[in-house]
Amino acid sequence: MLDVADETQARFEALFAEHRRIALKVAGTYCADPEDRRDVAQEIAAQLWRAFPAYDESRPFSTWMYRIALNVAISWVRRASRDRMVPVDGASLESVASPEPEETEADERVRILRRFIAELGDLDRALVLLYLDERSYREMSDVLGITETNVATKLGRIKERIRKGTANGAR
Amino acid sequence: MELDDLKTAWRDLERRLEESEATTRALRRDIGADRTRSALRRIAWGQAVMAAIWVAVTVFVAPFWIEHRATTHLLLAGAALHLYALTGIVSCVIQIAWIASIDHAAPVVVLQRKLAVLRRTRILSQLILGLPMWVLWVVATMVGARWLLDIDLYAASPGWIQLSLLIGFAGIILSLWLPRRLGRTARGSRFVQRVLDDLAGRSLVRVTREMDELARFGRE
Repeated sequence: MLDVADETQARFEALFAEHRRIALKVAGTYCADPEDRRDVAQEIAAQLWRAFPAYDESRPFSTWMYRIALNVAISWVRRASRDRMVPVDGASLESVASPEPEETEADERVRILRRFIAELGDLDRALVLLYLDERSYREMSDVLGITETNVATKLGRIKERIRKGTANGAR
Repeated sequence: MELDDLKTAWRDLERRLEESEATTRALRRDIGADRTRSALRRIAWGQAVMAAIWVAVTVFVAPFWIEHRATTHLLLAGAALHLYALTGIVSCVIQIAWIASIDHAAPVVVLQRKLAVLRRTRILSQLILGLPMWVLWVVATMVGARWLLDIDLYAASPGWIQLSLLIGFAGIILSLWLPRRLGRTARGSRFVQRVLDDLAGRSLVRVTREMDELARFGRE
């Protein structure tokens, strides 16, 4: 028979396995360097496990997981930026966004996406990640701690920026 | 291009990340690199130890200045140390309480704001408690000499005490001025660089900028 600790661990592992893509995507959005990505992903997993006893099962696991994952990643980026004395996000993501010699259409799409993400601040990046992941405005508002109207306003501005950026690039 | 056009790229990126062996493996590994949490825990423990030290200083120094209240310089020296220790206790208690209130599952804006406030409190505390050390060592020596050896250093050599205090005040000014003058270099350890940034006010500017950014993000 399983004891309480084993049951908790088994429940956590099942939920985590189902949602682990969230950790991968958050780490991938905030870190271009594979080693950094691995560190952040590991830190997210560790933080989730530590916080799991306080998780309220009546609420969606994905929202809870997004909150923790984004908090870990943003804190990591800010800490790394302070320690390394240069912003780690923009510069490094730009460098991985440079074209490869034999680039496929999919590669180019990913490169454009990475370049676009690199230009965003830490918080806007979180918003775009949730949007691209097709989360509802309500969930975005819940994860970020801002109103749904604010979510809509900010997304509207980001969309406008992309349109303008594309238009300028085409000129 | 539209933001929705990037959704295809997002799915490509997701697939690539999924295929990235190392990151996926890291997720399977057990708890090991919980830096934020352990860093906060270290800070909380450090502050608890410091609070205990400041309480001990207060317990010792309060009877000292009460006993020597008739001698102005000893009264002032004791009272200055007492005030310093009380400031230390307040700073430690604030930081411990703030860390205890941090919930990593809080909404992003809420948690990041809490972390920024904690960082700002720590920077200010380090400045408020660190800089007076330039003169407090003289005061502590005066109190220690009187208590342990029954020697009144100020009565014995007022010139030495005054000169030491003067050098201490010059040290405070130099500590604030020099890091600004030196600017930021990539040389030196992270710790040294952080101390220089704190003294030059760069850390405060950075954390204030972060707080402004969070406030702006929270507004419509």
